[in-house]
Amino acid sequence: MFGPKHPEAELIAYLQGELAPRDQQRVLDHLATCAACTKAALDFQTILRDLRHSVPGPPEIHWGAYRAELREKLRARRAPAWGWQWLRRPVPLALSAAAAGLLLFFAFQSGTYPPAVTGDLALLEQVPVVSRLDLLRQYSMLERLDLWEDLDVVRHLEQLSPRREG
Amino acid sequence: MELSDEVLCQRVAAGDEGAFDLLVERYQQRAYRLAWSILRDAEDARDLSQEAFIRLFEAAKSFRGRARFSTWFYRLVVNLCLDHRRKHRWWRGARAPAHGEDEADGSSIEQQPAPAEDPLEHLGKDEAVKSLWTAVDRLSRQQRATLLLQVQEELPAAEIAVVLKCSEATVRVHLHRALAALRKEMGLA
Repeated sequence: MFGPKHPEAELIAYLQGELAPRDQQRVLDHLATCAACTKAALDFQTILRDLRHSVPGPPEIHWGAYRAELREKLRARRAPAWGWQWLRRPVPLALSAAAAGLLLFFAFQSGTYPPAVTGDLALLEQVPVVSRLDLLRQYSMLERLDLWEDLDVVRHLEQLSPRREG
Repeated sequence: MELSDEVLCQRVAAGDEGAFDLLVERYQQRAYRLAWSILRDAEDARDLSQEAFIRLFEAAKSFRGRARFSTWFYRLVVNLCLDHRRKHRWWRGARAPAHGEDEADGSSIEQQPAPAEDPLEHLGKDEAVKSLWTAVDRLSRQQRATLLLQVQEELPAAEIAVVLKCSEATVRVHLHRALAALRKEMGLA
C-alpha cells in the first residue's frame, strides 16, 4: 500500500492503463481512500482529453513543393563542392586557423625569418656612433675632441655643457 | 502488399531512393506537425522536418530494428527540434513569447475542432482551449515534448522514453509535472 505516499507520477500511467496489473490495483486502492489524488486524477484526465481534442495544427503547406525542396536539399548535401563543405565545418576550420596562428607565432619567436638588414648595414648598426646619429648635429664639437675611442664620453656628449667646449 | 516502414528503411539503407520517397510521403505530415508543435514556427518546422528526412537518408544504416521505425524517426525529429529550440532560446525570448507566434497566419487554435465536451464551463470554450495551449507553451522543453508525444502522437510512455532517450520513470515525472502545471494554470488545483 502507498500509505501516506501519494502515487503522483504513477497517476498518469494509471489513467493510460500502462501500469502492471498489480500496480494498477495499488493506485486504484489508494484513490479509494484519497480524495486529493482522486481529484488530481480526474483533472489530469480532463486536461489530457481537452488537449487531444484541440491539438492545434500547423499552417497548410504544398506537399509537392515540400518534397521538391527536400530532394534539392538532399542533392546538395550528397554532392557538395569540397571546398565549401570544408568551410561549413567550423571545428576543423577553427583548428586549422589555430595551427596556422601557432606556426606563425613560433616562426617569429624563434627568428627563423631572415633578418631584414644584411651585410654591411647590419655591421654599421653595431657601431654606437652610427646608432646615435643625433650626435652628428654636434659634429663641430666632436671635431675638437679627441675622444673617438672613448665611447662612454661620446654617449653622454649631450650632457656636456656648451661652455666647457673650449 | 504494402511494405512496412522497417523494410522501407532497410531499402533506403541500401540506396533505394524510391523507398525513401515512400517514407517521406508516409511521414511528411507527422514530421512537419510534430516539429511545428515543438517550435511553433512554420518555416523552422518545414526546415527541420526536411532535415530529419535527410538525416534519415544518411543514417538509415544505423536503424537496427530494435524499436519501431516511427519511434526511431520521431527521435530524429524531436532531437533536431529540441536542439534548435535550445540554440535559439535567447533569440525567441527577446523576440516574442512563443505562444504569440503564428497567430497572424490563420493557424490559431480557434480554428481547430472544438472539444467533444466542454469541461471548463466557467470559461468560454475557445478561451479555455486557448489558455490551455498557452500554458502548454510555457512548459519546459522536455515537459512540452513529452506531453505532445503523448497527446498528439499518442505514444505510450515506453516509446516516449525511447524517443527522448530517457527512462520510462522520467517520462512519467515529466508528464506529471506538466499536467500539474497545467492544472494549476487552469485554476483547477
